[in-house]
Amino acid sequence: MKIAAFILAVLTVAVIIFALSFHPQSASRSPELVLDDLPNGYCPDQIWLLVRASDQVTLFDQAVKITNCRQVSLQSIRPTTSTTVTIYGKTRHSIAFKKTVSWPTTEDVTVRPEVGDANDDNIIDQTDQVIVADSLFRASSTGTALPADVDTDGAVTIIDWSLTQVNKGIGEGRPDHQAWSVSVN
Amino acid sequence: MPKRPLLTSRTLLVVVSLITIALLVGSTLLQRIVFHAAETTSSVYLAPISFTVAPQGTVTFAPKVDLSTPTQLVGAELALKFDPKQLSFDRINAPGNWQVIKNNQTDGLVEWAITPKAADNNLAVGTVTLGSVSFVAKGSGTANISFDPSKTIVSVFDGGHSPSLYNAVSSLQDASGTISDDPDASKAVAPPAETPVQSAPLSSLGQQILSTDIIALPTGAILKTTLRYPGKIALRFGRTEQLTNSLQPIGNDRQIVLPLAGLISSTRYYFQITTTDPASGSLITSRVQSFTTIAEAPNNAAIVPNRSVISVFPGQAQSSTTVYMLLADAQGAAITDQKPTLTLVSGQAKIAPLSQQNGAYQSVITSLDSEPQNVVIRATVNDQNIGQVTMRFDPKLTSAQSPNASSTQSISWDSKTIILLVGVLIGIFLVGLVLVRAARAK
Repeated sequence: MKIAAFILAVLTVAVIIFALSFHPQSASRSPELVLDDLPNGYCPDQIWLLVRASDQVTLFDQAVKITNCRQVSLQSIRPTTSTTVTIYGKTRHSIAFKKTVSWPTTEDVTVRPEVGDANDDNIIDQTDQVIVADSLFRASSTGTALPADVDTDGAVTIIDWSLTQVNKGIGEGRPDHQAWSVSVN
Repeated sequence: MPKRPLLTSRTLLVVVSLITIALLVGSTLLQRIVFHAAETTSSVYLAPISFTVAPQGTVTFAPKVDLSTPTQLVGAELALKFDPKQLSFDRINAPGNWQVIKNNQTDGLVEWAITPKAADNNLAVGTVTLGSVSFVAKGSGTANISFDPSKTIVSVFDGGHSPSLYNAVSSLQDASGTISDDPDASKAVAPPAETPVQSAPLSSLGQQILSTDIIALPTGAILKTTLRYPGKIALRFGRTEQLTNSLQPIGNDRQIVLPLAGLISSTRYYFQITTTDPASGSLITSRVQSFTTIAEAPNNAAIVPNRSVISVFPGQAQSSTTVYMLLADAQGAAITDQKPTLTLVSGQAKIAPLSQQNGAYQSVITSLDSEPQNVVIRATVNDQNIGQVTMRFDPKLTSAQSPNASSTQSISWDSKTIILLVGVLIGIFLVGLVLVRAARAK
């Protein structure tokens, strides 16, 4: 009897810890895609989002507005049943990312897009470095942003070149093997 | 007589259960503790800082970067302004294993970008030398060479910081000298270009702008600046990077507060701080930084402690310091016309009445103890706790002392973590109570 009471107490404490640990931030708040570790001046207007369920059904495939340079509402993604979804995304001058999450979720989904894709071919490589190096010290004029200004802060600097150096790599391809839309570029 | 086991099944169960709880508590707390890596800052200057060169002679400078923490250098962009009547650009050398990927010269300006020839994951420590730059003296008299703050960048990568790639330049120091026929002119030549290597920080290095912190207000801002040695600071600021407004030099201390007023709410402002090195007379300029003034909250807005700001500057003082407080709503907008209260939690100090200026509240705290002490002050509004700050008073503190090394990491605990910790402690207490009762019953 006493052992049973003890086990019950242990289980109660464990449940309390887990409940507090995984308590959602706010039950009424819709989750957001948070773009983390972006360069200071980088502020894209929109992101192309593609969301696929585990059964390969495409749930969402269009450009979405980015608020505060870093936040994307996931309110529009409404799978009918609980499932695992893979979120693909690409912003201007970054290579595409993907992240798999259980859905629905009340937690924000944080991703770290890698910026440095000057020619937006979804690859950060020597070609991008040459584009940036050729345009170093130049400033973007109003309405005509330079492709080499990958962090979109208005000037092509060593920071842009450094992004092409530290973020070298190939972005995620679209699951339907189509090219990423240039409408976000 | 049967042999008694070392551990009974009941004891074993209790031990396993306690270990389970300890692991749960530990893992949960680790999830909640946020480690913030400190941002690397750097002072960029030319060596030698002062020079003498004969007419038609060549003067060579070594651009140097004094890094606050070990960091990975990815590249650097340097831009120097000079009087084309006095000097003409001669050449640039990259450090060993580095390369100049582009350079550009116009009348009175030379700019160049250097990067490692191959990806280098080694950390640069202390003072590094970024090659050399040479000029030929043309005229006679005084000549100045200064960094262009908007075009001088030290690009560093730190995976533990967000963003992981950023400009680490926090202050710039120019060089000045004389063009004359003095026979010592040939001595003004820097060492040849070298690979960035570890070296001790220059003990002879003069004044530095160590840190700048801003509390943005609806129609103003509070700018808190710490210098390496006591000095005056001047400010240029504006709504564009042209910095069309200026404030005359003020202060004569290591830690200086500069209040800005008459600004427009929800507007981005740029600013740049300058000070002078008393030893060499050279000008030290911070990089152009920016802040955005905040909005004013509607009348019925509720104060959110987590969005409010309470800070003390300077954190260490001989006898008095100032507490600054900004009350904010959930959106971070300023709430004014409140009656906050400061109360002494620990220590012996006198709290002056709070005054309000540009949306911020401030009060002078004066130590009442002749011995060194820590003082803790709590801020409340209508019994709602806003937060508390700790300050250190030390009557023996001298303003000329060397700057304290800043911690490279800080730990922050949010209120939920503290609640969780209290809950877990209560849970452990209850389990212990059950165990004691079970033992007594046996």
